[in-house]
Amino acid sequence: MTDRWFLSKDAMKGLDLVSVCINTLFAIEQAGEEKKVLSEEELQNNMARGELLFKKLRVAAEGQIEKGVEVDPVIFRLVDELRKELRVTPSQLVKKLMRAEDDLNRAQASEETVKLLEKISDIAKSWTEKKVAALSSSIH
Amino acid sequence: MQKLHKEILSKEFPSSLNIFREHTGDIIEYVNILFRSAEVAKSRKIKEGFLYLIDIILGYYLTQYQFFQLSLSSMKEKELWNALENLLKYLADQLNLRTTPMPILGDDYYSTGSFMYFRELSSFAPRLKTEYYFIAVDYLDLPLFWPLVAHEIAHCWLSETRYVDEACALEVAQEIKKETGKSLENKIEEVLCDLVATKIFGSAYPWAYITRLWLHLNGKDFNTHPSHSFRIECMCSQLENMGMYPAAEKIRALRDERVKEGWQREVIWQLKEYLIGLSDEFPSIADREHYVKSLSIVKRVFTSPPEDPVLLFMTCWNHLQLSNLINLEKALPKYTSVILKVLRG
Repeated sequence: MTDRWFLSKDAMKGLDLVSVCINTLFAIEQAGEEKKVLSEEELQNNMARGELLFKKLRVAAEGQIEKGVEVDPVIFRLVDELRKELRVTPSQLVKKLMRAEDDLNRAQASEETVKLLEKISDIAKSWTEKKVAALSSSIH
Repeated sequence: MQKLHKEILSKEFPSSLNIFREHTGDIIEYVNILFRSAEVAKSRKIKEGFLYLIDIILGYYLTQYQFFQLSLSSMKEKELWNALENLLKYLADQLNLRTTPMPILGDDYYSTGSFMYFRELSSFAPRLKTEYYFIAVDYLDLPLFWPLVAHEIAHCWLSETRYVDEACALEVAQEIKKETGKSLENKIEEVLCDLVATKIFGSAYPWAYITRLWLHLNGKDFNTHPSHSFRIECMCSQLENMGMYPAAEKIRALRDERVKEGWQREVIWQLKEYLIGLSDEFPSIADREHYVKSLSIVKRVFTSPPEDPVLLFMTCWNHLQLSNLINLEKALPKYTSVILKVLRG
């Protein structure tokens, strides 16, 4: 009865995750430009949301070590896939995410942070397009 | 898109559908921003990212536009559509929902829409300014089954809360997830929606559920949804908590007659008490007083029906349970007429 709800919900979540990644990557690129298209406020907001995303992922990754952490199940799934793609242990992933979080907190980004954002965005993209396609084909 | 927007702007809609018009304007604005960002981005990966976002946002919007068209075309059934619209308004008010869902007379009971999940992560994307939901009923069903709408609106309500995340974070839930290797999110959400619906419509919800799904109660495919047996068990326990013991007893007896497999076979059965406990915090509309009153006015349901939608559905279902079913064919249209009369206001 409610598959369409779950498809919509997952699509919305995926869309939010991809948006954050792309907007953060754009902010990182813009930070290095002399002539900026983004205002200082937009730039900081995008960085802050990227930092928050890494924090959420880090908390979820820690939740794979300690129990009882309250995290959205999609974020948990994202951490699982990220760990598999990067072939790292939960504690190694926690360290990577923490470094990325610190980077963005200082409004900077190492190559590793950029790669992480791209990877997260790729994972979220593949989910999102599947969900949107499934929802679309569910309408007779 | 601009053409579609102009078309939508030029038409008159009932006020409950206006939100989709606003949403269309937001989408155009947001897509323009994304195009401009794609143009100025230097990295190919970022350009592709923005174009991907445009593609997926438009893809999702066009899917939602089809639901909007379904809602518009179902307006032809004016009486039914207005009654459903009023019921949704009533439920949205009771649940203090951010927005009233748009009604659809569709092919099944379902909900969809555009809404925020990661509120704190979401950019100031205009896409997210206007949130909306659609809720559909099965057009072929009698309005007697509309308490099932409460389950659908419960999905919308839960999306505005943290209850699903809380339940998924429970240690037992994480243990089960580890053992089964599957996410429990959807199963947990389904049970919570049943509990919300039972707290709204009391015994009318499980009666509508068990009657509509009677032929499917023995189904075996419960990968993403909990078993019917378990769901009915949770609803009955909730009814008992609400003091509606006779209804709980009857519904359980019917379930046991029909379903061979015990409710404890459901993988999340250990979460039952926790989920029911969690629902103590949910908005409660139906109570024992409604139940007792509905039994006392059962005989007058067709002559002086109650105006309160919850009492109305409870009384109709109690009437159906207490009457001998020989005259069912004659009685069914009467329920439809009385429900539509009350809901149209």
